[in-house]
Amino acid sequence: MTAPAQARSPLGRAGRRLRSRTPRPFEATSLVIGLVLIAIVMVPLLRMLVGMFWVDGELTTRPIRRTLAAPGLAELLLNTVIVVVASSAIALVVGVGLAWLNERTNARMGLLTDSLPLLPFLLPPVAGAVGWVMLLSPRAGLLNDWIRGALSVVGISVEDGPFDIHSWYGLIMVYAFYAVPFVFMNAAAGFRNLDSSLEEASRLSGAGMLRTLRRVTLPVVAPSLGAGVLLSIWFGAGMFSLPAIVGTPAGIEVLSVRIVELLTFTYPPDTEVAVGLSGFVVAFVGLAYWLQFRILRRGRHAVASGKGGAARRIDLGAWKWPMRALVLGYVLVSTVLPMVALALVSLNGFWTPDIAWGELSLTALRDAVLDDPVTREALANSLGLGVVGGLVGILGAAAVALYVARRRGLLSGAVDAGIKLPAAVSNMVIAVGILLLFGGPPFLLSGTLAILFIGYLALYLPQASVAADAAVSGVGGELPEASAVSGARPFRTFRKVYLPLMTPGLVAGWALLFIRMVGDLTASAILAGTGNPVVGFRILEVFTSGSYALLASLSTVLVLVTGLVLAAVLAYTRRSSRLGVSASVGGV
Amino acid sequence: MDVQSTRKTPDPVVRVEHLAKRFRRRDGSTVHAIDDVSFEVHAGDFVVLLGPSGCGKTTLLRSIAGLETPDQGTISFGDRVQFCARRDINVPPERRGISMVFQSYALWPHMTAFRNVSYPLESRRSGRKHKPTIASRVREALELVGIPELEQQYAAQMSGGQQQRVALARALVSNDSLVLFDEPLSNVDAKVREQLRIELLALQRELGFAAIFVTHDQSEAMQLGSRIAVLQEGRVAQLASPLDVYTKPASRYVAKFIGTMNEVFGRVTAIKAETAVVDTVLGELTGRIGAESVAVGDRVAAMWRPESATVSTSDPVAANRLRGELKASLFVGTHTEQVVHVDGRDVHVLVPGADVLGSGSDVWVEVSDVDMLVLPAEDA
Ligand SMILES: Nc1ncnc2c1ncn2[C@@H]1O[C@H](COP(=O)(O)OP(=O)(O)OP(=O)(O)O)[C@@H](O)[C@H]1O
Ligand SMILES: [Mg+2]
Repeated sequence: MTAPAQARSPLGRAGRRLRSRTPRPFEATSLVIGLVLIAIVMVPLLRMLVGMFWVDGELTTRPIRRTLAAPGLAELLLNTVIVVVASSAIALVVGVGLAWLNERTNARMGLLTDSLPLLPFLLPPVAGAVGWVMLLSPRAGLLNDWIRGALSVVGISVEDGPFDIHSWYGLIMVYAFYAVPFVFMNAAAGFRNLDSSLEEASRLSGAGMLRTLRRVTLPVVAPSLGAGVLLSIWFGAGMFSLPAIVGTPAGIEVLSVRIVELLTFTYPPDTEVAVGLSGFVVAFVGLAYWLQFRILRRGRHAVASGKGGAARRIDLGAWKWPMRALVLGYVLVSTVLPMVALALVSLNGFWTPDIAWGELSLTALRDAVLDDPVTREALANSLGLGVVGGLVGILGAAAVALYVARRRGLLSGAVDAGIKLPAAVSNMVIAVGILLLFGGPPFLLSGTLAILFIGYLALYLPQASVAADAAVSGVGGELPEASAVSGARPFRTFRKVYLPLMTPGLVAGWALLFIRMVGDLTASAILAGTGNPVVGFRILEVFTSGSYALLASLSTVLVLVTGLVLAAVLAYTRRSSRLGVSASVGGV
Repeated sequence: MDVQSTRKTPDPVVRVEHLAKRFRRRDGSTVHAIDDVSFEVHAGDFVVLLGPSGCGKTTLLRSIAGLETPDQGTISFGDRVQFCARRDINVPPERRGISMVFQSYALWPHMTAFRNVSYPLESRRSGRKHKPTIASRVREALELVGIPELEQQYAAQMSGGQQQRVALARALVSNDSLVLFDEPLSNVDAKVREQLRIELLALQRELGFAAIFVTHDQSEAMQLGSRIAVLQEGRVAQLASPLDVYTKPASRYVAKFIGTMNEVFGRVTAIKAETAVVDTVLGELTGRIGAESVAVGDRVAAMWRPESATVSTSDPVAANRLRGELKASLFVGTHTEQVVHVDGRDVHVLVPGADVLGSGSDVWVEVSDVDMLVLPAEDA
């Protein structure tokens, strides 16, 4: 970044000078970065749309006709809708309940209840899915075995079960666990911003606690709840790892699984139908958007400013501890149990309900992960892609965010919207588009790390952008201006003011991207292969070949890596006295 | 502050007895937000809770509403006990049958003005059924506060003053005998505030509800209150009519909080009936004793209001006279503010109309012994 030596202008013109202070090269670079980032999402998307009508150089409706004639299409669509809608509905109830307890009542337990419900966010779904299989598989499931043990004590003996993860309820439950954080995060923000005198006014009007909740609290936070549900639908529609690992063995096939199957496990890959099916995913998410828009419009929501009202918490009285137990119990079941299962199976060396507690060792873990050349390569690739991809993503997004924040205008608005657009399109769809565009000629990137890099970048761009926005907005308009007025040149302002203030937010954003990229399965399933293995792909491969200890070990390593990075970054951002991660995890 | 001993035959609308509420701060220390407060509010009373920031006004009001749970004491409305720490009674806010106007208006953003106002009628058991009655009562309330045309507007589509009127209509619509106000006028601009004050007072006279009104604006308190309760660190320092609070403050704290006071410290040398002679650095001053506990030899403050003093060049006649130099004279239209330098300290005087003396002249400041107040020194 260069700093043109500008003459100090008299104070009267300071305002104008400050606004145009950014050196041109910096702006131009930011703009180019922004456009490139947008292009790697938009072009593949367009390519995919075009692919529905244009095959081998001619206009045709064949992909659409073939898609509509795909075997079991109706069941496929119905399954997807059932899983996504049911899990979103459950997530709505659970997420709102958790958020309400945490934000509006005295059941909150500080950081514990603030952040724990978000944990599934940071646990790769692949690992979670595998963990649940190990817990609730009808015969060998650890939890099932423990329950059977408990039942036999009271004289009831059963052969297998009582639960089966490979079932409708199992699939919906696992989806819901992963959808809850979306609702929780948005609902918590809504409750937090709610002026508590709105509730108090209702109480004084003669409405009890429940009536107040129904007539005042929930309607006021409805927009936040809508956003949460929308995200959970978006997440569910494009989710691949959960249905592949939990649903497929039960014979429940959903759209995303079929798409991947057509692209990677079919030879030759049937791109036409895959593209056609992706169209359904787009339509599904689009419908959810439209519905949310309609519902919120009907309520004519205008957010009233909560002046003055300090948030007062409802005293649950005797219910406080039972409610706390409920929250902790939820966290235990949704997050801790699957992690424990993964760790146990990988330490035990093979998957059995009869854990040899005395002989747990790291041997199996080492055999499975470090001594296996393919896994080692996959791990190295994933970590490398996570570090570099996260860095490139967050820095690019930061440049764009800075540019957008300082140049409010049509172009910058468009760039900002463009960079966040992938959030509206399912991961699955973007990955398919990237495979179509970059996999074939003239790029021929299929099976390389480069296509994975592009894929990850495109997929997680909106998250990078939201995190970078948060980091930039923390700097505000006046701090750099104060620096400029104090006589600092632009470069000095950037170095002394922007950078130190933005760094914690950017580090948190990087961590989020890293976690997402390392734990990714969607793009990995579509874009990776034996030539460019990554952890997600390897997990899928191991899953199909049925080696459970290896599966558990891989997942454990994934959880460990994720957890370590998260802990380190949390410690760092805490010390910088910023809740960077929880802020940047938000917004997706 | 003692409980009023003269029990009137109809029960007071509100009776608060020995109420106390402590908060635990983050650092572990405790704050006595309310510290043994007792008072009564009768039908038609307009009691203003006045005090500096943090003295416990909001906490007291919220305790009466049932939004805060006190640690000790009793609150009853009429003959119904609402809260009693000893007997473990705590009626939830929705069953106390009172109304409240909040500082932030607290209008529900997803409801129109009409729906906001009809809500209390729908929520209270008695009124849930008759739709037409509800509608006519809501219209009546909106008309009462002068905004019948805003019925279908949402809160975000109204000005601050209009929102405050809706909040008022919502509080009045159920015709409760007690309405609480927590600084309801602090978010609207000065002109509107003045207007709303007048209207509020007229409404209160017309409808006859008892009001408890929190403010830290002393002129608002003087204007609105039939009685003012001056709070000091969780205690009621004085509860009396505005005139009494102004002219007969019970302590230095009250005297200095309401209006401005000149003050000089000294020791009591003699007491004669209601008056005390105080030996101060400005000489001997004679004044009315404002508190019972003053005795010969006590350290006290002699205090007087700027407007009860006069400045003249002629020979003084009043009981208290101070010789000084007129330092500044600021004409502000209705009156003139003067600063007289007496023995190295500034004495403020307020005279009506324009001043005729030029600054620098030697003058006498005179205060009658009725206007000079003698109060214990160590309470503020
Ligand atoms: N929830 C709480 N937790 C801890 N301390 C509190 C709480 N609420 C009030 N306090 C303390 O109690 C005291 C009284 O507070 P209160 O809100 O009643 O003051 P106030 O007179 O209404 O002030 P203001 O004029 O600023 O509104 C203050 O010292 C305050 O810090
Ligand atoms: Mg207050």
